[in-house]
Amino acid sequence: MSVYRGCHLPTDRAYDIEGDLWVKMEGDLARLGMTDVAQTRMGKMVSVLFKRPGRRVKAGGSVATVESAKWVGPVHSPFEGEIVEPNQEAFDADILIANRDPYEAGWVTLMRPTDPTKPHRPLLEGDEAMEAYIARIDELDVSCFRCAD
Amino acid sequence: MGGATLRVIDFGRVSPLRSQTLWHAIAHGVSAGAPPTLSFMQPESPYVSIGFHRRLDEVDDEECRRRGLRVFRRMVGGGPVYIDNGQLFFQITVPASAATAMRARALRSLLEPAAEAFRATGIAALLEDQGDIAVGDRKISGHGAGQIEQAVTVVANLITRFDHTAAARIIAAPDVATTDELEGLMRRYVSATPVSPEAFRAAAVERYAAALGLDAKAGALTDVETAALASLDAEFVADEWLMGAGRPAPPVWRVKVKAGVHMAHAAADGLSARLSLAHGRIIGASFAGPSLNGAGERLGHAVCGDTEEGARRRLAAAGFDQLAELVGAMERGR
Repeated sequence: MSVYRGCHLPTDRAYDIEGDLWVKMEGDLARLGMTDVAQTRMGKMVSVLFKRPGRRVKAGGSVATVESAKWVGPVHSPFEGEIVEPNQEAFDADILIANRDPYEAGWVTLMRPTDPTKPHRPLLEGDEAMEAYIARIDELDVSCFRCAD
Repeated sequence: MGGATLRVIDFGRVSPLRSQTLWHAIAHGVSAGAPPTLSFMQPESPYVSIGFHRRLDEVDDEECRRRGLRVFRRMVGGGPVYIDNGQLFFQITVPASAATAMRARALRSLLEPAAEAFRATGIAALLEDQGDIAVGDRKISGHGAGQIEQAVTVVANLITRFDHTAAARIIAAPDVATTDELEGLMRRYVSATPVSPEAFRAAAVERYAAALGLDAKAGALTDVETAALASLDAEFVADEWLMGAGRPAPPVWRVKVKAGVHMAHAAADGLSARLSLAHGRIIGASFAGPSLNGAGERLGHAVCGDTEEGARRRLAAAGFDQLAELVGAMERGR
């Protein structure tokens, strides 16, 4: 785990840096979630609407739509593929789950990519991901915090 | 910013449907490379708009039918709102990459020029910390925001005339007394501003151009936007879009009047509790139910000025545990 300006960046997964999204491959499935930067930028979530299991999404399309205050925005899919399991129950139980725990309990959706080698944007890992994300954090001038508490 | 031009489009009076779909189409256009855009429009007849995530049954469909109002779902946030030709709508749409990283800050930076435009027309408007444009403690402009494709849009309005009655009655409420109280809160905290729309429009163009460092230039829809408009016109009248996702009903009825001012209602086992709150304090309370043995009015007076937490404790200490639990549900549902 790297931490930069308060932003936690686990090293056990890949990142769509520009999309503020993390991706963890589990066999032929990909678990997606918002990064600490994403939840910080968004602020406290008030609502989320998931694409349902079985729905097809385009690479760069939306797997979920989140609302914070009066601001609505998409969570983009890095891949073309099919939604397998949205994390509906966890968000129903605690709408702030991604604000509290974006990398574990607050994952967004599990999907089956049509071709995981063809992401919408490059997925970076390891040192390359950390360097790129640190540059983005500086560019955005963001310092992360968990606003849920 | 994405280009040297702030495209300005004044659509004038448009149908209720187009007063929604036009600015959504612009977001598609800006995503596809059209310049940042400031757009204006006025609905030619009244209707109701509901936020992207909200349940359709938050709107009183009987009242809407009676008044001949259609309901359209928008792709930005917020609850059901009554819209008529006493409101001039404006939208600022910029590429998502050009918006400030933090959403709350982006919202402020894209609303501040609107507050300046109000001031330029002689209205002592301020952008409050929580994002409402207000004069004193009265909200004078509603707003919503969102990312549509790769564009960020902030929608707001100049309210030259506000129909508080219609605005309160189109919201589905547990009972008439709640609706009446909601209307009262709206009259207290939401106000029209007697500004000429032309003067406001001119000031807004000037202030947004200055804030974004762009040259304002009148423009028109691009081919991408015209195509998107046709598609959105069809999508927005489809039942599936209007119905939304069918989210579960929240345990507590709650309506925000402005930032920091809201009403809540909860009921269980024959007891009901209704609270009006301003800036964390109860400014009106009504409790009813046979088990209160006529003490509802006295209890309502007793908790005035309390926080929800304080009221819950006060009620529990007085032995009204069920009522305290209802207030606790309101507190948790905030």
